Amino acid sequence: MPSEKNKWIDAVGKLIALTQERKLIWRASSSSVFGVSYGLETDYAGKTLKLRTINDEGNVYSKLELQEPGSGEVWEFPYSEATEHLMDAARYQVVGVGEFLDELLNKSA
Amino acid sequence: MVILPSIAQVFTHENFNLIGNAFSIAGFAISVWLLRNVRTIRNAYRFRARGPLLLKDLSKTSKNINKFLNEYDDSLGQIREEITRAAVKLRSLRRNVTRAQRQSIKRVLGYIDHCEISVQNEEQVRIVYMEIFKIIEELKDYQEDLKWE
Repeated sequence: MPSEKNKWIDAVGKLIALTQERKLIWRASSSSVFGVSYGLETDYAGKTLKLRTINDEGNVYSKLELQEPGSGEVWEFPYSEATEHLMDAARYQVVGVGEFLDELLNKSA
Repeated sequence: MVILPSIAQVFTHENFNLIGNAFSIAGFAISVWLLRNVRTIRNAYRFRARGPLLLKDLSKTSKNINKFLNEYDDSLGQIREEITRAAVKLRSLRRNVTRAQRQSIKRVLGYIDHCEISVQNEEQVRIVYMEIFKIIEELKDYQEDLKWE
C-alpha cells in the first residue's frame, strides 16, 4: 500500500483519537447554505477543520476540509473510510451521547 | 574460411545430454512459474468470492471498535471481542490474497497478538485500530485492482 495513503489515514486517525479523548472539541458549523447550518467544525493549530456529509446523487459520504481562517481558502483531505469514523466520533461528541448514557443509566427508576 | 562441424560432430552423446539437462532445468522453472501463477489465479478467484463479504464484516468490526473507543475505559470487553473478531476475519482473508497482502495481514495480526487490552494500554489499542484500518484500505485497493484483471 502506498505510504502516502497511510499518511492521510494516520492524520485522520490522530484526529479521531483527539476527538475521542475530548482534546478536540467539535461544534455545529457556523457556515450556512441558504440560512441552514450544516456540518461540524473545530479549530486545530490555527486552522479550522470542517466535516460535512455529502449526498452526491444517492452516494452519501463524509468530507473533511481544512480551512485557513484569514483567507477562507479550503483544502480537502483525500477520502478514506477514516473520514466516516471521524464523523461518527465528532457526532458522538457534539450530540453528547456519552453524557446522555451516563444520565440515563445513573437515573434511578 | 569457416569450417562447419559435421552433423555427426554436433549430435554427440555428450551434447545430447547437455541439451537434455538444459531442457529439464527450463521445464522445472516453467513448472514452478506455472504453479505460482495458478496459485495467484486461484487466490484471486477465492478473493472475488469470499473477499467482499469478509471485507464488509471487517469494516463493520472496525466501525464498532471506533464506537467503543469513544468510551474506552468502559468498553474494554467489547473492544477485546471486536479485535478478536477482526483477527478471525483477517486470518480468513490471508488465505485468499497475494503474497504482498499476506505480509501486510501478518503484520497486523502481529500487532493484534501483542496487544494487551487494558486501561493503561489505550495507545496500543489505537495503533491496532489504525492498522486494521490500513489493511482494509489496502484490501479494498486490491479488490479494485482485481476488477481489471
